[in-house]
Amino acid sequence: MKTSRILWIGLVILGIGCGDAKKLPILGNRTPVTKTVNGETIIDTIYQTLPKFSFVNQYGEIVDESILSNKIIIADFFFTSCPTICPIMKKQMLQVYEAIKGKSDFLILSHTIDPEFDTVEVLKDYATRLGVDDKQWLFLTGKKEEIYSLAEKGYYASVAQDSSEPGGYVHSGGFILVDKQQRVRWIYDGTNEQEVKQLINDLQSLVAEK
Amino acid sequence: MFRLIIITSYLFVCISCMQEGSRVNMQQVAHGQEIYSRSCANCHGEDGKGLAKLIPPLLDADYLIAHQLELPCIIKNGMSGKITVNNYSYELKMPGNNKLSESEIAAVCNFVLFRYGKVNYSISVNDVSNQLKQCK
Repeated sequence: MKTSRILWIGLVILGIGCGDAKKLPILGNRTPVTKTVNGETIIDTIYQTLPKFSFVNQYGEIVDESILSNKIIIADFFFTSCPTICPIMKKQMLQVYEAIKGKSDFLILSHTIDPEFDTVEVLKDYATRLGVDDKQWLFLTGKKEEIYSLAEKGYYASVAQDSSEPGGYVHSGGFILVDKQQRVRWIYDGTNEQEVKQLINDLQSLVAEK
Repeated sequence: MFRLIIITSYLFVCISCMQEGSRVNMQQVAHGQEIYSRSCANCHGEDGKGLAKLIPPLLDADYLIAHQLELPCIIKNGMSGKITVNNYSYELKMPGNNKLSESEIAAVCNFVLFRYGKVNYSISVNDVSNQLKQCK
């Protein structure tokens, strides 16, 4: 009796330990700030969060940072005429879309890096052909400088115009996972089926986080 | 032992007959598969199924069979404009593959037609060369 109880306690401790180990790290810069709470001086950490933005989605509606509130975001960067990795990324993102469909905690944001060609109409057609007809997967366009700046400073994604590349642009194939406090938690290779499966698994642990 | 030799030689004869009878050059198909994986599979998929209603399939595609003589031109120069494949219309621009040689294009044609079009005859480099001269 005693032995089994000890065993149980051990298992529970082990469980908690493993649970902690699985917690996703918080990426980006952190700033320590000293503040006074109830007369005591404490050091708090401020994590880097997504900056403000204002884009237009495939339905022609303005989308700004307020859409992020209380949502777990999966973001990527692409362009509709991309002949290289985008189709594979979109095939993998469809798996993510299937996993989050109908669950209000999650939102996918796909940003075009070729806003001159990828107008609202082009994005709407692209989304419809992919089978996306709701607002859980938004295709965003806007000012080029703002998209590129958000990619690099907010999502740590590399994007650039490069006429020597097929399609004229280079970009990372990352799927960026952002928590409800708008902190980047992990970046997955969106062309790798195994990593995307891991992302789908991590969504569950992230939504359970307090 | 003697029986084994007879059976083995019988098998040999059969296999060589089959190879002679088959018009598909399997070496070309294998070479074509390598190039397909490198140059085509990103969009059309390793399984040839395309991507949703965005990128047309090659597998069992009526368009592939109906336009097989244009295949070398499509592979080399890409295509744009609306096409209908298995009753769905597609209009995403396909980029060309200018860096492929005529023999590489022949290999891809053989792989695509054999694997996805279930066609059992071969396209020679000469055929490709002639067809490329007639690209629109």
